[in-house]
Amino acid sequence: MQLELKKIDEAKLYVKAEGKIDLDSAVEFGTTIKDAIEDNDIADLVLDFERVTYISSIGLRIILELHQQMAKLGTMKLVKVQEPVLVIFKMTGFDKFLHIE
Amino acid sequence: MFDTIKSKIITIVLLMLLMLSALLSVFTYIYYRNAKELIIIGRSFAVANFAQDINKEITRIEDGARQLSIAGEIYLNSVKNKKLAEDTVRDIVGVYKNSVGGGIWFKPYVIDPNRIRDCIYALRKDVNTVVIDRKLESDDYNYLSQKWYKEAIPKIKEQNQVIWTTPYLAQGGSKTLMVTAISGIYDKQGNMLGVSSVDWEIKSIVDSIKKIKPTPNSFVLFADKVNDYVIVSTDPYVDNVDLMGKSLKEFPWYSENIANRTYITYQGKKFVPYVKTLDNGMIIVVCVPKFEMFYYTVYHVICLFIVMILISFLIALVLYMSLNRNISKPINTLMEIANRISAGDTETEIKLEKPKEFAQLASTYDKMIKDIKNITRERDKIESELSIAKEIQASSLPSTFPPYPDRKEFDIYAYMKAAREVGGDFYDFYFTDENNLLFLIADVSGKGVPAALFMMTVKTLISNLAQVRYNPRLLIETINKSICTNNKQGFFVTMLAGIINLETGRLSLINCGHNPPLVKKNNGKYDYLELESNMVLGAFSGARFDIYETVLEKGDTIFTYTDGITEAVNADDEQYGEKRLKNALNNALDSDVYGIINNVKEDIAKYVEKTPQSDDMTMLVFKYNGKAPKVEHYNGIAKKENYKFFSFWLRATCQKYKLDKQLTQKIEVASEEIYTNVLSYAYEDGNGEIAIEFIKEEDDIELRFVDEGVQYNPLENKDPDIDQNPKDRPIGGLGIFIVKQSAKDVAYEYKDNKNILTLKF
Repeated sequence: MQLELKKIDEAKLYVKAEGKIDLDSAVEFGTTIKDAIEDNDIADLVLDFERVTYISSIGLRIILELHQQMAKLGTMKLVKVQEPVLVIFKMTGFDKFLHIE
Repeated sequence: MFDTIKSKIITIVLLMLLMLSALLSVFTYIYYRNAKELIIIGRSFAVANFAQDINKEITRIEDGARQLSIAGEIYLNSVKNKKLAEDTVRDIVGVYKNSVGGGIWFKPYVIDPNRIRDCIYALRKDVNTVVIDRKLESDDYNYLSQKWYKEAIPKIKEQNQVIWTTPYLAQGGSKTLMVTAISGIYDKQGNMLGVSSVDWEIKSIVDSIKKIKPTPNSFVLFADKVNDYVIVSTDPYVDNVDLMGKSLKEFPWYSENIANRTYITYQGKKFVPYVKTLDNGMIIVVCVPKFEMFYYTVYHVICLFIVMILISFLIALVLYMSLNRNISKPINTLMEIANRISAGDTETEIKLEKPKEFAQLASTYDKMIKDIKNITRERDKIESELSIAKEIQASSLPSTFPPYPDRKEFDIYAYMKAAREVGGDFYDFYFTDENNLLFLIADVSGKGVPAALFMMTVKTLISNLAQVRYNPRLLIETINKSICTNNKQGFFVTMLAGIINLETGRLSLINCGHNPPLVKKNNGKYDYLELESNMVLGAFSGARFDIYETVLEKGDTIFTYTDGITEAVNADDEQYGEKRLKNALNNALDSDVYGIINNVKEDIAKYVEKTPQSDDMTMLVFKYNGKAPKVEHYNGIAKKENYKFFSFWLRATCQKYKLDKQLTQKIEVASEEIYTNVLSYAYEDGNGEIAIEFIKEEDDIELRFVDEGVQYNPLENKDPDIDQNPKDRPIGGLGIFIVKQSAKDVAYEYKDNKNILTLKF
């Protein structure tokens, strides 16, 4: 998993992820983004999943935590979600509450 | 009852003896009748002889009287020498030792005109002493006035005539019974001048007569008929003393014509009278009771008869016992021994010394027993060798099932039961290369040891040649040529063989004169396959063979058998037949290969019941399961750090088997979840092993996760509510939900202390 974080505007964080969000990488994924949010007082989180090929339940959990965190702070949205990940979101009903573009 | 020699012999002997007894009795009866006559005659003679003796005595006495007469005549005519006369008289009386006395008595004045009486009397004192008794010359006696003299004188009519007085008791106290014989004394002119007398004591005669008792109840009568005077009788029914001297007429049974009578009836009984008249007019009558006459005879005959019958039965008994001991018992002993031998007991000894004929037989028996023992021993040896041969032969057929447990492409099962110790049927199967399996079933002509040896040869031959990878046709033709080469005995083999490519399911079948197989295709029913039946193997070296080709699908089954199956007969000698076999298979379409053969076995067993097996029975079933499933394994410690290795392996495997992206994703997602579960919860120390099995069978993927951790069924949890507000969503439970959604089927079991989770995609 490779992450590219970019602060945009005042409180917007643009995260570009590449690879799989799985047991191996999920926790690190989560921790990195959470730290960045706190450090930078982010109020808007954008997750670019163009290059994310895979997510498992661990990843989902992290996404959920991020979502719950951002719900207090501001907004979160996922963009360019690929089919495989979308399938998982749909399967688990995450698509119902996640802001997916 | 007459089945035994013994009874026959005894019956014959008994009959003979009884016949003999009967014959004897007949003769005895005839004899008896004659005997009756003889007895009567005999008795007569007896009495006659007795009378004869008495007659002799009488004659003697009469002679004595005559002699005395002559003496008297001499005295008369001589010079009257009394002394001389006395001596003569004495001498004469002395000669007649039975006389009591004797004398001469003259008429008055004949000797001496002065003397009125003149007599001489001699008296016997004892046997040898005779004296002149002068008493009788006395006046006291006065013979002229004596009754006997007075009665005698007129009775004597001529010279030499002798008359007898009636018996009288002697004077003087002796009271003995006497009788006197009197004869006349004559002068030259023939005038009777006196008499001579001899006194005779008849006591001895009387005693003798009294003794006459031919039978216990006979009695006798002795009387003077002339003077009508009963002398003596032993008639038990009368007072004999009273009757003495009485007239015969007073005698109860006596009659004048008694001598002419055959029987007299007296006291209610019949008596046979024997009458003898003595010369002096006396009679002896012996009366013998009729029943006693022949009493002894009848008695004897009956006794004889009874004794003979008893003896006959005694002889029969002795014969019976002897036969028993000498014939029946030895024969029974031998029979018993024969029975014991046929029951298997060869240790019996024969002990028979007597009788000699059986001793011979017994020793022959003994020898026979020894021979039987030897033969039995030999037979047992052969039997045990044959049993060993049977075991060797049976063990030469593959008997481990399943033979290739790791080869899932097929199931195979076979069964052979020999009819005798060793059989001629066989089956075989082996891989000719990694993907090709050869299986066959065969039946060697003939039975027993020769067929078994031939079978072993052929089996080995085929398996050797099969390794050379000929194509099926060439393989069979080579096998056939080889069998023909060393086949001096002219055996042949029928065979049905199949070579299947387990990858493709392509099957080549060769039928060499064998029964066509029953085949189930495409989940249908079993039916007999119509395939070319080539020549049997071993018959003709140059034979060509046609191969039947087909392709098997998953589940297709081939059932092969030998004719011992279809030709099994029941008690009515009816064959089991092809139809019943087909029905047996079709009645259990879902059986596995073991079930198929066991069903047929049971069906046949029910059909034949107790009828013994006459031919080898063999069956081989082959079921094709399609291409083998691919199996991959992964083992490792379930750790977060190790996940990537597992993940890598999983992706590589999916790629290897060219699974599409979506499927791969599903597998990955689900597998990650399970793996995570195991590493998180299964082991306390978090260091437990996890084993994953990846099985691909056609288009079905199965993933099996095995760990030895805490017993835990992840499926127990409730599915999360995906509609729930994310705020309220619990964190857990999602993973398993994903697993259930991704996989077609999820199953958990806890077995052998292992958690086994099986996912099917």
